[in-house]
Formats: sequence, C-alpha cells, structure tokens
Amino acid sequence: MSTSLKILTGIIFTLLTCIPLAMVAVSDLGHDLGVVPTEQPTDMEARAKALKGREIEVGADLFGQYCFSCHGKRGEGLPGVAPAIDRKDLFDGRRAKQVGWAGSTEAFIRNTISAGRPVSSRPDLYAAKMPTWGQEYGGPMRPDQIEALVAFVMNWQDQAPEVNAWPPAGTSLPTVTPGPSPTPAPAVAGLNVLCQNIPAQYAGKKSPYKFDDRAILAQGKQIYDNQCAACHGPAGKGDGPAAAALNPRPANLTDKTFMQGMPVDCHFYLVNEGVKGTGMPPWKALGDDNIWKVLIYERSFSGVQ
Amino acid sequence: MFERKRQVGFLAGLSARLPVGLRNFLSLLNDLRTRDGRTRVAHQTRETSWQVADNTVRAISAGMGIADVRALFRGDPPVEKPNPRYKVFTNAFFAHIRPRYYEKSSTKFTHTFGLGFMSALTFIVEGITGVILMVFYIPSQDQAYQSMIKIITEVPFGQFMRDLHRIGAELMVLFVGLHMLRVYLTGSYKHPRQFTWVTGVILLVLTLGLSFSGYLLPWDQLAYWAVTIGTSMAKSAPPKEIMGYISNLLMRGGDTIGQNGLLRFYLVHVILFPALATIFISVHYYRVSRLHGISLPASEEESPDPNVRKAAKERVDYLPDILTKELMWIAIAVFAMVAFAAFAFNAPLEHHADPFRTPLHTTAPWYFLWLQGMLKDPVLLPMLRALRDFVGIDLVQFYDSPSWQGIILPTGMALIALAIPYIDEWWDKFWGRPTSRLGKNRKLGITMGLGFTALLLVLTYLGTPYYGVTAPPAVEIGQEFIPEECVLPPVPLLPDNCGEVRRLGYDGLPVGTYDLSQYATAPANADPFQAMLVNMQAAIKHQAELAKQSDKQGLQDAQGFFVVEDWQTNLKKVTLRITWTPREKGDTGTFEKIIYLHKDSAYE
Amino acid sequence: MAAEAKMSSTTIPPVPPLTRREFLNYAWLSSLGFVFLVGFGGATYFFAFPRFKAGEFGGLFALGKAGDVLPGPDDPPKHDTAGKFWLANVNGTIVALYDVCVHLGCLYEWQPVSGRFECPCHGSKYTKDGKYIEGPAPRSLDRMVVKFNAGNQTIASTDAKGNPLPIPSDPNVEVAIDTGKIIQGEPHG
Repeated sequence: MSTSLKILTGIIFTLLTCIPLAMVAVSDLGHDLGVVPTEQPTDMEARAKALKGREIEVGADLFGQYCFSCHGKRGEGLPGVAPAIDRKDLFDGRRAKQVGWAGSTEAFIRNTISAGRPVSSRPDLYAAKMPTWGQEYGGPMRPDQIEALVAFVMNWQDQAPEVNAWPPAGTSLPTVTPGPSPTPAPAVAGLNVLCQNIPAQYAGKKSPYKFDDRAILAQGKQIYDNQCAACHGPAGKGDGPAAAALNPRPANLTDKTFMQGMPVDCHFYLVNEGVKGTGMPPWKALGDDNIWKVLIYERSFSGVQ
Repeated sequence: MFERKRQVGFLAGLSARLPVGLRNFLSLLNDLRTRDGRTRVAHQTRETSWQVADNTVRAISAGMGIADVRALFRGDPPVEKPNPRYKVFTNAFFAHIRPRYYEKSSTKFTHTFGLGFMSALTFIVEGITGVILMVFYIPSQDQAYQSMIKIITEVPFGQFMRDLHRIGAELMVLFVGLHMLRVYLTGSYKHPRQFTWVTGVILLVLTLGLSFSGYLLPWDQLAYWAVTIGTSMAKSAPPKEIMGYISNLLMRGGDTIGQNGLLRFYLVHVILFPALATIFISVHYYRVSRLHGISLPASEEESPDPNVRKAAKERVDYLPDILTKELMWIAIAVFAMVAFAAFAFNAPLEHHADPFRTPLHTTAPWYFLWLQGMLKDPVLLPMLRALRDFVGIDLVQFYDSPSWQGIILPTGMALIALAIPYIDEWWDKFWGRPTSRLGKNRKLGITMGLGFTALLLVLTYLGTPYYGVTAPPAVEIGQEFIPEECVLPPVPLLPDNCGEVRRLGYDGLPVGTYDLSQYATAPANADPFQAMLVNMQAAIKHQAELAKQSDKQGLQDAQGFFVVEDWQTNLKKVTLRITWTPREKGDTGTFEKIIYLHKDSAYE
Repeated sequence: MAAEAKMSSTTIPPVPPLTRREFLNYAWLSSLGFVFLVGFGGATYFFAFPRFKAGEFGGLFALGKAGDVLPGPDDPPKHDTAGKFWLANVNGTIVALYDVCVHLGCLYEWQPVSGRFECPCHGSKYTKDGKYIEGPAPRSLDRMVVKFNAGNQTIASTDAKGNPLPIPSDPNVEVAIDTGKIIQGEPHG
C-alpha cells in the first residue's frame, strides 16, 4: 500500500467519521438544530418516554404486590378501608387541599407513599391508616421504587373519572365500621334462612360449566383475584387484607359445612344480589357468565359441588 | 581641532551608550537612505525572518528544520546530516517513547495483526470516553441509576458516549486476548522477551479487572448480580475463614454490595486500575519498542542452524512511514467504533438493582462466561463423585467447588500463564535443544495453546444459561416468553432477548383471554400475536408430551392461558397461566407470570 | 595456577566486608519497606475494612407469637428480607435458612411449582428444609438458630448442628431468630 493511498484512506475515514457523529447530533439535538419537526420526538425524548413507560410498569408491579389489598386491584379503593386513588379529586389538588398540602400533586403522592399517614386524615370515611413505605422513614421501599409507584399513580390522571373518593368533611360515604369484636364466619343457620327464601328466578339454577373444567377455573380465578380476594382472601379462607375491617367477617369458602349449606343455586343468588347487613355487595354487574365462572372457582376451595 | 575631536568623542560615546537594539535600528534607518542600503536591508530581513521561522519549527518539531519537515511530508530523504528525524526521538517526550524505526519484516500485517496497537488505542478511547461520562455519573446507590437515565435521556451524545465506552471495553478485552494468543503462537514471548510477556499477563488481568469493576456502575439488575457472583467467588478464596472473609468484605465494603461497595468499585475503576494499567503499559511498551523491538517472524529470524540468528535486513523509519500507517489505522478504527456506536449498538440498561431479588438466568459478561462455566463444575465434581461411587475413595468431602473452580484453578491458570516463558525455556534446556520459535519445532506448545483456547470456548458455552441452569418447566416457559429482564445476549453482537411478549409490545397484544389449546395449529395467515400463541402452545405441549414419556419430567396434562387486560391509561396487564395435574406433594399445579406493558416502553 | 586465578576472578568477585554505611543503607531501606507495607498498608486495611453496627443484620430478630408467625406444615416457607432468612415448616418442625445460596451468594427462591428452593444463577436446588438436591453448591443451605421464649425463659432452641426444632404446642410462645450465628450446612456426599 503506497503512502499516498494510506493518506487518502485516512482522509476518507476521518471524513466518514463525521457522518455518524452528525447523525447522532441530529437524532439527539434535532429540535435545537431545527432539522427535526417539533412533533417528532428526538432520540433523547424517545428514550425518556420509553424509560417513563418502564417505570410505570415497575410501579404497576409494586402496586400489585403491596397496595392493591387496601386501594383495590386497580386503585378503585375499598369502602371503609382506603380511598380510591384513580379519581379526579386526587389529581386536581382538591384532596391535597383538604389536608393542607401546598405543594404539587405529585409531591403529595410521593410524600404520602413514602412517609405514610401517622393519623388517618378522614377517620369518618376510611379506617385504615397509610403505613410508611419509604426506606428513609423505615419502610421497605427504595427511593426508586417510590418514584415508580408515583409514576404509576400519576398515570391515572388523564382518565380519572369525575367522582369524589373523598367528599368534603361532614358528608360521609356509606361505610361499614368495624364492630367491637369480629365474629367468625356467618353461621350456617343464618345461611339456611337465606337459602330457603331463594327468589324464584334463581331457584334450581344449574351451572352451565363443569366443576373440573380447568379453562373455566382459570378464568374464574382471574375474576376472583380481582374482585373477591381482597375480602375472602387469596385462598378463600375469608382472611383477605380488607377482612379485618368487616363485621361480620367474610365467609370462609374453604369451610365444608358452610359450603354444603349453600347449594349452587343459592350461591349464585347470593353473589348476584349480595347479602344485606354484611359487607357482601351485589355483583350482578359482572354478568351471569362471569359469576358462574367465579362460582366454580370458589367451590373448588372446599371441593363441595 | 581639539574641539572637534572632543565633539566626535562625545557622539561616539553617546552612540556606545545606546542599547544595541536602538543602535541597530538607527543604522537600519541610515541604510534606508540609499538604494543599495535598501536592497541590503530587504535581504537581511528575509534572511533573519527565515532563520526565526526555521528555529521555531526546529523547536516545535524537536529537531527538524523547515526543509526537513517539508521533505518529511514530501516523502523525500532527509536533507541534513546527521539525520534530523532521529533527533526528534531524543528530544521530544512523546516521540522518545516511540521507536526510531521498525525492522521491515516485523511490520507485516499478518505477523502482528496490529493487535497490540489496537489494545492501546482502545485503552485511550476508554480513558477519554470514561472521563466524559464522569461528568454526569454519581457513584451513589440512590443516584447512580438516576444519573445513568439522565445521561441517556437528557445529555446530548450521552447514549453515544456510553455506547462508545462499552464497545471500547469489549473490544479492549477482545484485542488483549487475541494479542496474547498471537504472541503465544508466534513464540514471541521467548528469550529475551520473557518479562515483557509477564507484564502482558498482568495487563490482561488488569483489563479484565477494569471491565469487571465498570460493570457494577450502572447499578441495574444486570450489574448488581453479575458483580455479586464475582465477589462471592472471592468469598471462597482459601483459607475461607481468613482470606475469603477479608477479601469479600474489603471488596463489597459490607455484607452485601451497597453504597460502600459501589464507591469502592467506582474508585478502583476510575483511579486504581487505570493508574496501574498506565504503569504496566509503560513498562510493557518500553520493552517492546525501545528495548527489543517487535519480534520478527520466526522464519525471518531463524536460520537452519539454530545457533545463528539472521540479522534484520531492512528498516522502516517511524517518520514518516509508520506514523502515516498508524494514523490511517486510527482513522479507520475510530470510524468503525463511532459508526457501530451510532447505528448498531445500544448499551443496555435493565431495571434498577434490587438486592432482594436475583433475576433468573443471571449471566456474567461474555468474557467471564468461561469462569461461570467452570463454576457450574461440569467435570471435576462428577469425576470425584464417580471416584467415590465406583472406587470408594471419597474426596468429595474435602472438595469445595466454588473455591476450586472460582479461585484456585483460575489463579493457577494465571500463574502458569505468567510462568510460560520460563517453563518453556526450562523445557528446551531439559531436552538439551536450542530455543526455537518456529512452529515446526514447537508442536507441543502450539497444540497446548490451541487446546486451551478450545477449552475456553467450550467453557464459555457451558457458562451460558443454555447449559445446566434448569428451573421447573413452567418457569422456563415463562422465562422464554416473558423474561424477567431484557436479557443481555452472551455475545455482544446478538440482539437483546426480551422475549416474544415484550417484542410484540402494547399495541401487538389484543385484550382478551386466550385458551392456548385452541392454538395447537397455526390459523391461516396468522398475525404475529397468533403466531406467538402457537409457539406458547407448542412449548406447553412439549412439556405435556415429556410428562407422558417419563414420570419425572414435564407437566402432566398441561394447559395454558394467556390473558391480556386493559389495566390503566396506556398500560396492559399480561398474564401467562399454566396449569397441570400435580404429581408430587408440594406441587401447586399452577404457574402464573404477570407483567405490565406500557405503550411507550419500547423494548428492542 | 594462572587459569585457576582467572576463573575465580571472573565468576565470583571477591566479597568486600559489610561497611557501616552499607549496613545503615540496608537498615534504612528495610525500615522504609516496613513502614510502607506494614504501617500504611495496615492503616489502609483498617480504614477500608467495613465495621458492623449492633442491631442490624447479625442481631436477634424477635418475630412474635408462634401461632401467628410460623408457617403451617403445608404452607410455603416465609421470607424475611431484613433478617435474611426463610422460615420453613417441615412436618411440624421449624428451620430458619440463611437466604443466600451457599454456592455464590445469589438469592435462591422458593418454587411453589416444584416445591423446593432453586437458585436462579447456577441452578443449585434444595429441599424445603435446605438439604442439597443437585447443582454446583458444595453443601446444604446454612441455617440460623431459632429460639422459642416464654417470658424471659428460652424453652427451646436450635442445637449446634442446626437440626429442625419441633414447634411447641402452645401457640403463645415467642419466636426469635438469632441471625448472628450462622450454622454451615452439611457438605453433601
């Protein structure tokens, strides 16, 4: 290779090096240089967006581990236990104002998660106190996990429904206050009364699904975990995180005698209409099909068909 | 008369008292009055200014005048005698560490492949990009990951610098390793270059140490657990109660890696190892370039009579030939690295380090996979067990796997590597034959070298998660389609393996509950989502088949469900659920893997 | 004679006696070496060596009443991340397992799917009570001392070998785990 050729090669590659450098300059600084239209994100913005998305995913995962038991699977709250956090009044600052918070909503959420609430702000509405979560206050979570949770909660902002989870003081949500001493699972006797007076449209109903259909069981578990587990417990023992605040306590679905006292049609009826005087709400809105699925799953706890 | 004479004496005295510069200036003014004088002044001025210029050039070029610099650039032979180009090498610091000339046959590309040069170049690239990254990096366990995010999302050229630093690091390991292999195969480590080889082995260790210490700094899951494994090996350094205990605590700065450990790794990475490497590179380079020169190809150096060494035939001067060539290679290499960083490579950043959760299939970086392979202990432990079971000699009870595979054997390997030139010399003396670098005279040595390289490659394969780390079948299926992290591939050029679910992303996953048994065969013109469901069903079916054939493996009557739910604004919840008939007590018969996917979280 | 004298003069030069200056130089150099290696080296060692505060991991973890905190015989083991241990109920006896894999320090996990502990890094596997099943680990999982206290009295405590401790019938005894004493698992055959 002659010297001239080497020099030429050197020049060519030196100039070529400018091309990737210029590409990076354009993709990172396109807006400042005026070569990328404003509506099109630069690479830096795209990376920031992607990392924000991943942070929300981490937050969702943490929420599914730590928070759902009081604030509901999807932040819809649990009456009498903890407020909904997917509502407008959290994000437009009304709720922060009620506790005298002057900073931004994001800082309010971060602070509440990290430091918790030593005193319940609305004992008239919600019995549970927010525990401390941040490591700096003695909780289990690192600062980056708190940030991820904040990002997840803030992600409700855009679609938050215009419903107050926390009405002004004085007006109260219908709530079940914990009684003096929690009684065990409802007695079979009380159940018998309910099951004997079963309305005509439910009497004698049969499940459209088989009791050992795994596909149905899996779908039923999905619904159960979302809707029922908070009170009835993940394994149906009636020991869900929200159970402590309820009187009478939620039914223990693993109890064979109890389940035998509740035939399939009665079970279907009670899930549909709820049980008055207890924390069991009517679930009609789920639709017959879903209720049958969850019923099949619930009965698999005790094996009583 | 007397008066006049006195007057002249006064003027002369006055003139003698004037500063020389002023006197010259006055005589110059005097000269300008005549035509001849003006010609003389012009000539003198030209002469002086050329002299000034030439001197300046000599000062800057450390010895070469204008004519010689031009001759250098023109490719002419030197003008003055003695050769002023050689003067540069005695006068200037940066030139004095380079050789004045190379033996021509040592500059052949296929002899050295330029590997040592490229190793040095990557070290310099690492130094420059490293210092730039230090501007934004904060070595604190609460802020390190945040500062990484800042570097790639808020700093122009931030991701680019990271990529360049990462590529440089991987290339440096690669070049140093290949350089060592080349030196071994050409026998260049032999007398008189034995100690040069020793410094080279030390530099290899320092290179690996630099890579390893830098690995922790992003403070993501990948970094944290790879380094936890690495430091745990130190924990088993014998005697464990003293050496292992001390070295582990000194490195980690505590029981587990935390703030102390991060800061220690940071300081080792940016100060201690670079300083040591600079010192050893200096010694290494001095010995190569000034003391012995680059070794010649053995065929050029050795004659049929082993006691006669051929003298080098031809020289190539460093100025200008070698310099031109080196600059060309720098231009090419820098372009290649910059282009690769800009277009083809993204240094990965996994989730924030979590000291309470070890991700499945944690892998070492590719250049430590051989060590991870050894740590799985594929050979020695089974052999010792066989010895105990069939012969009855029980050595297993004395055998501590991590200590042997992680510390004793690698240290032994490093020590043998250090001693290779001396062992080699002794071996030749033992057989009473002259030292030879020719391949035909070192068949054993070359076979051993290539054999060892092959062994490292096999161990590297054993180090990948494809070998030996088997989780329960359902967990493996979950890991295949929804890995916990976007797993870094064992070899850097391969794409990240984020699993098919993440690859489809938010938009590719329609909401619904999918019974996988309905996807046993691919529907006609299946979209990517359906194709993935078909793959999942195939994996589950495979486990069900296995269960039919044996009563240990597989999942009996396995069934899979894939659920996609709308969870929040731009967020979907994805659940893979596998159920089967449990065969053992303690087996729950269900497995569930949940991830959340955000619309923006582009995994690539 | 001449050849002999020549040989002795070329191979071994005559040995001059040790002078005072030479001795002092050696003494000075070795003292310098001593100060740098032992003095500053030792100082740096103590500077860099971590020290542990009381009350962190390494102390006694009081958990509460046995009836509340201990897992049942069919329950999966419970992980305590602050104390770095797993509590496992094996047929009515209790073991506290140090939560770090004895191979290379990864955190092993309970796999409900297969009913055993599995390490995600190099694939070591252990039974519910920490016994080695397979993989590169050199021994069974390390254990910690479990103590049952009634009032101020310790009524039962894990023995020096770390054998599983039978759970007392009274659910009101207090459970405490001593994370300071880690009992090494038995090397496997």
